[in-house]
Amino acid sequence: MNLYLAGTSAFPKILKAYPHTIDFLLESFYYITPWQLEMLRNKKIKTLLLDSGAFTLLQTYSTYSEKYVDEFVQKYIDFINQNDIDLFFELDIDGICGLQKVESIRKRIDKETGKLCIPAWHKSRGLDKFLEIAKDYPYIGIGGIIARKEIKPKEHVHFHKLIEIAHKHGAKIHGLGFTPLKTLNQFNFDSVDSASWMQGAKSGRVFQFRGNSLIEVTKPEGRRRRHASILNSHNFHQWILFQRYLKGVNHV
Amino acid sequence: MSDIRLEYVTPESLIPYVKNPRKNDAAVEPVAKSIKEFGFKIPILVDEKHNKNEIIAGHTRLKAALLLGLERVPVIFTDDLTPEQIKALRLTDNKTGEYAEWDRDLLVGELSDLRDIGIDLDITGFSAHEVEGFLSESVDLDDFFYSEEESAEQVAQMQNGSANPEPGFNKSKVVCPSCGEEFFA
Repeated sequence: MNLYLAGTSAFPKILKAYPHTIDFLLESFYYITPWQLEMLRNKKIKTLLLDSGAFTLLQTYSTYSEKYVDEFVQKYIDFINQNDIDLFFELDIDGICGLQKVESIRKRIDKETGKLCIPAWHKSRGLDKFLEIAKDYPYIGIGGIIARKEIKPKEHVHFHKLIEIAHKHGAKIHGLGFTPLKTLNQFNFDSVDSASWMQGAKSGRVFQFRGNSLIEVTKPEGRRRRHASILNSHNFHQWILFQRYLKGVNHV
Repeated sequence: MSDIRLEYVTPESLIPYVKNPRKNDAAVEPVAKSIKEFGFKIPILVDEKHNKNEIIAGHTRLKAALLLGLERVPVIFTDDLTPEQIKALRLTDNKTGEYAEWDRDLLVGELSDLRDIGIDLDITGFSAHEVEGFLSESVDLDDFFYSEEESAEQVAQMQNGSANPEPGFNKSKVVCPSCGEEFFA
C-alpha cells in the first residue's frame, strides 16, 4: 500500500531539510509550491499524486460560474502538461456544478493531457458510476471520506466490496484521506493519503513508528507543547518510516 | 505417511505453478540475501506424481535461486497427495503463516542482541526502517512538552501579563501592522 503524505506545502523548512527521499507525496494544484516541484524534478520526491484543490477554491464563491470553472480546468491541464505529472485526480466538484459537468471536465482533461486522470468516486454518484470508472480507468479513487464526511466510519466496511470490484476490473484504487491507524491494514487499498502527520502539533500528538505500526502519544495533561516545528519534524519522519513500511506490505 | 525423498536438482528443471496466487516479487531479494548468508536450508516442495516437477511450495525460493545463479537446489519430492490436496496445500502453506504474530518484546530483544554482536540486520529480512522502528526508544515527552512546573509558570505569566515566552512557546509574537505594538497571540 502506498501512503501519500499530504499537507506539506506549508512546511518548506522541514521538507527541504529532510535528508531522505520521500516516496509518495500528495499535493493539490491549488497549494503546490515551486519548491515542491523542484524537489520532484530533483527526485527528492519520487511520486507526486496531484489533487485539483478545486473544491476548496470554488466553494469559496457564492455563485457558480461556468466560465471560472473552465478557466480553472485549463490552468490545471496546463500545469499537468508543463510539469509532466502522471497521477492526477479529476475535479470532483459534483457539489458545485453537478456530475454531468464533472464528467465532461474529466473527458476534457483526459483528452488535453493525453493521459487518464483518476476519477474520484463519491457515494452520491451511485454504484453504477463506480462500476463505470472501474471498467474505464486504470486508477480510481474514493472521495468524501474525511473532509466532506459523506462516508461515515461505520460504512467503511463497504470499502472491501468496492476494492474487490476495482481489482476485478484491473483498476488500482485510492482511499482519499483514509488512514485510520487501527484498521488501515484491514483494507486492500492500493494507496491512501493522510495529512495527520501535520495535525499532531496542533493537538499535541506525538507519533512513533514501532517497526510494524504507528502509534500516537497524546499530550500529557497540564503540560504545554514546545515549538511546533520540533514536533512536526519528528512526526514527519515517523510518518515517512510508516510510509516505507506500508510500501512493502501486501495486505491480501 | 511416506518417506521424504530429498534430492538436489537444477532450478531450471522445476516448473512453477502457473496459477500461484502469491505476488512474491518483493520477497525474492530478501530471500536471496538469506540464502546467500545461510545457504539453501529449506527445500522446495515438488509434485512427483501428477504434474511432475511442478512446485507445490517454494516459488519465491526458486526465483531467489535463479537470481543467485545457483546450479542446484534441494527439493523434496512428494507422491502421496491427490491433485486436490496439492491445490489446497499451496494455499495452506502460505495462509497459515498469517496467523502468527510477532511478540514485540522478544523480537526487539533478538534484534538488539544481533545488532550488539555486530550482525548486519539486513540479512534478517527486516528493512532498515523497520529496524529503526523496532529498536528506537520510546519517545521522550520532555523533548516535545514543557514540564508541568514550566507549563504552570508560563500560564501564570500569561495571566499576570509578564509573559516572556521563549521562542517556540505556544503563543506567537505578533506586531500590529497599524500601530507597531508587539503582543502575544
